[in-house]
Amino acid sequence: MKKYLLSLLIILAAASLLSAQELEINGLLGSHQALGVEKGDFHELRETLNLKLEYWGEQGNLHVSPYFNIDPLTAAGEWSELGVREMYIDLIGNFLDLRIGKQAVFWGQAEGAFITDVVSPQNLSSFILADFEEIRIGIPAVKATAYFGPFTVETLWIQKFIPTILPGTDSPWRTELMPDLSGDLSGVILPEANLENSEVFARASYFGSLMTVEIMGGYSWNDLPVAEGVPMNPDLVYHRSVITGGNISTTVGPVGVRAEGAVTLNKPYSSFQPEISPVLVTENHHLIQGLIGLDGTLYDFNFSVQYILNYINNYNPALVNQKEILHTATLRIQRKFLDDRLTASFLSYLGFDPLDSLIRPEVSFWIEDGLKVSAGADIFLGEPEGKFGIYEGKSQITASLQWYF
Amino acid sequence: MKKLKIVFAALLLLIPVFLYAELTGTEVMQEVYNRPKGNGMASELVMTITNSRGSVRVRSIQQYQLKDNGVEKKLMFFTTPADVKGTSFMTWSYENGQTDDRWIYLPAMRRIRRISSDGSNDSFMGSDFTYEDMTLRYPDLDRHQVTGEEQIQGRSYLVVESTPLNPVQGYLFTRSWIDPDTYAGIRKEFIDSTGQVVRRLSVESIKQVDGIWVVTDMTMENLVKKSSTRIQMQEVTFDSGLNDSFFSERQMQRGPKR
Repeated sequence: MKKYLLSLLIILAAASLLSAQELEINGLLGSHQALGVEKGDFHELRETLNLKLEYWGEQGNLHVSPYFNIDPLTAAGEWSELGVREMYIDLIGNFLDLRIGKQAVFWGQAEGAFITDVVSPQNLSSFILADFEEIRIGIPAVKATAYFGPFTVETLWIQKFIPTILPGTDSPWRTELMPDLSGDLSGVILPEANLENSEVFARASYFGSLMTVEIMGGYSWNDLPVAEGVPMNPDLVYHRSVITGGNISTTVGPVGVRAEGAVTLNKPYSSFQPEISPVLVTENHHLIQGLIGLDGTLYDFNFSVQYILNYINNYNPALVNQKEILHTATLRIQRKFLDDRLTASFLSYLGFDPLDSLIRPEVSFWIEDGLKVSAGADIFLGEPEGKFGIYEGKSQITASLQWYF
Repeated sequence: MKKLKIVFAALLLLIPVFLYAELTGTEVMQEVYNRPKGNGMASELVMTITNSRGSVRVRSIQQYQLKDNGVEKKLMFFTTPADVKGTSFMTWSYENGQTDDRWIYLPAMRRIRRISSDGSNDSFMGSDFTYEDMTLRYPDLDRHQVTGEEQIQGRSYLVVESTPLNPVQGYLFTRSWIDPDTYAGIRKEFIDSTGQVVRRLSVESIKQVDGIWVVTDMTMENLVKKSSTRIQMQEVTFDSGLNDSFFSERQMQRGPKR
């Protein structure tokens, strides 16, 4: 704990020393509570401080975003956490920008779905309930972006593979089917950090009056490992795949239309083969994902609706915990009242096979500029075999207070 | 002699009427549209939103504007308060009447969203201005008629009523008060189907910067909601080294010039 506080003090002291030189400091102090409806147990009692420090020079800028979380519900001795979400230097040229350092990458046009947005791994320690920015993990990378009028070409070299984080063993969001990717990742075989194991991504985009178009590709490690060996004590092994995809967005009359698709070639899956030993082996199949989304405003209601398809090519029923076709839909409706001070929103994920859902109603009120209080719920419904239905007993009511500065 | 002076003075007052009597409503509004607005304009806006209970919220915006090849491009960056800082909004408006293009960048989402311009009369960032108010409406979208002339604070203004050719949300027609010398509007009312004025824009200050008349202080009142939004423009500069490539996805994410 002392180590964390000392680090935080050093960062703040350095910030104050630089403050005379155009350093911008912004941040968010938040308090988040979540109470399980079924058992009356607390799922979250988290205080969080997110800082964003930016210093601007003539030819670039530096960016550091440290965070400090306190949550007494986590395991004893681990209830506070200090980290750096991003820390990079931007070098800005006339038609070429370079970003070097730990950075979170946001690609694609999907909301709450990761189709071409696969560069940064995810922090799923709170399932998919964390804030948009908190769910992405920064990666050590060098990004070069070149601009040619309305065309942009972006290349990324990720020096070290960083895996996705799943809920810890003491988390209410942990399920029996999840591999243990929490803590120190002992028992997980991670690729060595060397040149051969680095990852590459590229994206080309067109930004114009009629539409925005992006195509992307990458050769990377899959964010989740594959279980191999014996079911009771499998080896968790990471594999590489090639992914290619793209998206397009335009407006048609009163609505914005988005479409996104990707193919992961020879994606590895765990397959249960009782006739051979060991019974868990890796099988490769192409994964095809698609999304179509509509955004707009109707009678002062801001809405967004998406349909998402996952399809495993040449499907084999022996694949562990996988379905050939998976349909998911999302719906977000939002309306503002009282001169934008009060926002009522409704977000829902709907799985179709089996039928299950996550429903997130929320009301938030700006007490003053920068100070927001929110109350809501995360309601899980449906079959326990579903991605959301599995948490049926974990529905919770939430409250938060956030101060932006 | 005294009578002669009165007649002479009356004739002088009528001169503008004769001068502008020949201009149709469409011609007046075309002049308004085409009046010199300078190029490469950069400015700081302070937006003060006051609701019906007198509660005040203040937003600061850095704004850039460029007209090139019949396309007026505008890029706005919200700089305060902290909860909206980094939000940027870009519009491309076309002289040929083509529908505007609009994009918004929300830093919390780290994504640029294309917005349909069919929602033109939605509130702009919780203010009493609409998205459409933030751009110049192309004259051919309305039918215009000069309905008279009115004296305001000793100056004579042409009154022009403009009725959209296609119905728009929020009002039936507008009434604008136009200075016949500079073709700058100093007041505009939005009137609904019952004849009630629902919103009123008043220009409090118009100044000449580098020979260009610039509205530096204006207030939009919403007479139904009893709220108002004042926009004060500061640090106005022209030819501020902007080029077409500034009005881009890249700049929306990067923020204002530093």
